[in-house]
Amino acid sequence: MEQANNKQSTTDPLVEENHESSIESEYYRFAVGADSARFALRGDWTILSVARLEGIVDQLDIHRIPVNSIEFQCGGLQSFDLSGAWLLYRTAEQLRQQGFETSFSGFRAEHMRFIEDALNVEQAPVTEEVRPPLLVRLSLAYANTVASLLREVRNRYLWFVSISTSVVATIVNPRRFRWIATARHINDTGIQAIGIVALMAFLVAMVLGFQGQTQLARFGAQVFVIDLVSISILREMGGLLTAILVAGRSGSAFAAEIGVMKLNEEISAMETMGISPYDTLIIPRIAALLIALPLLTFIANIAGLLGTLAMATLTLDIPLNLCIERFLNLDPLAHFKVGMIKAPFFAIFIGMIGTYRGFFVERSADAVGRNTTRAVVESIFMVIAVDAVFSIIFTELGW
Amino acid sequence: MSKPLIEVKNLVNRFGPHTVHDGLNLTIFEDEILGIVGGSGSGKSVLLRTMLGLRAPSSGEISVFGEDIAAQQTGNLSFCQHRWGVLFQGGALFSGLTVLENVMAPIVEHTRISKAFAAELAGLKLKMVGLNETAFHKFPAELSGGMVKRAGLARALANEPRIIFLDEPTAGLDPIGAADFDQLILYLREHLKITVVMISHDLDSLLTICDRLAVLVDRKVIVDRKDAILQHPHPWIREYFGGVRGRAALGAA
Repeated sequence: MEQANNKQSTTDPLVEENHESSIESEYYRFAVGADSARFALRGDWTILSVARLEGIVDQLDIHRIPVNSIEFQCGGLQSFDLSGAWLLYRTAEQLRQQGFETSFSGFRAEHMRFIEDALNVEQAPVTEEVRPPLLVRLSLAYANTVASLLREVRNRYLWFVSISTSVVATIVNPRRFRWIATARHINDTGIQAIGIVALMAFLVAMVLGFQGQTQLARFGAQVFVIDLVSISILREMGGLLTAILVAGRSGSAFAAEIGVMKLNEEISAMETMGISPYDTLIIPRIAALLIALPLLTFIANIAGLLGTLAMATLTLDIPLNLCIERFLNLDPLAHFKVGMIKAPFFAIFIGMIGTYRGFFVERSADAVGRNTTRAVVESIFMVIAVDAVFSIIFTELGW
Repeated sequence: MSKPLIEVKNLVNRFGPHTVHDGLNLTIFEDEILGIVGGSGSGKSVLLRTMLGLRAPSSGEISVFGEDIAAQQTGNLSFCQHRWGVLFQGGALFSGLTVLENVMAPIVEHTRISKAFAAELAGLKLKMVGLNETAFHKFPAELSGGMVKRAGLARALANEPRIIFLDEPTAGLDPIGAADFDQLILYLREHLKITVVMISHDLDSLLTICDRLAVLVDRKVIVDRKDAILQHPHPWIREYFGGVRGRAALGAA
């Protein structure tokens, strides 16, 4: 037992009359004697228990320990693993930094190994990256942005050149054109979309009609709702809404499909075989959209006109023949033409952006997601921008 | 012999009309390194996936740490998931996380320790498999093939498993890297007292580190000590180990 020659004042609660006080838990017994403290490990010091032992130094309340050497007695350990060893090493290290001397005793051979391993890989791993000063980081970030912008410009330029080459080559030698792939993409982007496009146009026409007629009714000009809705559908809404829908549907699909192929090194494989990925992947998709999007726009126009008609005859009680007469007086072909001219341009932008985004995916799964999102956002934005440009042109032309 | 960790009894796996395993029995004992070999399509990966509970067997029993996982209808395998580690063939590192975060992921999932301490433990494991700080904050896409395997191994070891499964650990590594990896597995087995189950086609690696070999032939498994398997009369086994590559590896071993 401890000797009675205690130099510390007896008011210290840790040093009681029997000259020994202790803290006990499931994992250790910490006993403070007159000139040394003993930390007896017991139970399991494994990855499953380290959570409760992590703050061990705080639990010990070390500032009140009157002695400056601590002996770790490890004979009572049940199971032990590398995580437990690391915890023990770390605890001892923390105590050393507080000015205590630490020693170990009673290790069983199979437990000793873990401590040796923990020490071999030694010293706390660097967990924080060394961060350079703010100014440096800001300028680095700026340089990165500029670099990626330049890279993007270069990529787009190369992309455009490759596609143009491929298009020219296909025109010169039509046998290069992949009919079967194109047909498959017409099915995916066009035929599969007919239902949703038609339904959407029909509903939008009805909604426009209801909103329009409440305003027109104030002037007693309800019948003009036919003009209002059919002109908006033919000139703008049919084409624009179809393009936005296709951008969301097929632009994303293009980016994801090609992006995964890129990750899978399918595109590299093609290049090594001398198969142009532009011929096989890009041109068929853009060509398919060039065919499918105008057709879908046409279908949207028809569905929109049917919606107008349904709204006018069923809810406004405008007779059918009056509806048709008003409609024919509008010179619908001119409006139809204005709407349809835009469709191929939308198709080219959606196809180019979707495939471009897929083609320049870097090596990681979240890059596919990011590029798919970008493909959709950029193609919808371009559709609206192109539409605005056309509005200006048509206004100037007086169409 | 030491006590069994995993017991597979009368395992049957069918894909439509195609039977991959038909009454397969396999016992994996504590502290051994078991190599699983077999021709392409012989069901090595299916066996591994079945043992890991990723695939429900058509019939049969699989007990892991004494509990039948095939009977766990709900797919709740949490009783064993923190006691095993898996290194997938391609590494299967989470591409959105750095190397260090990859190794921290299972630790943070199964324990309630602070992020900082989890990072220390993860760093310890990464250093054990031979990766240093410069690799810690890289993303998997920035690593070489060998580093991916090492990081995957560190992640498999993160929760101090009693058993690790390695799917083609040395595939895609150069011979020097593969030999280093073999030594690493031996070192870990000796130091961490873990059981290792590895699928491999690398004869050098099989003959260097395995205690026993399990050969998948005829929809069953022939399992025995390494030297007994090498003497086995089964024609496929003779061809496998007796071919040019096999003789070269045996000569070296």
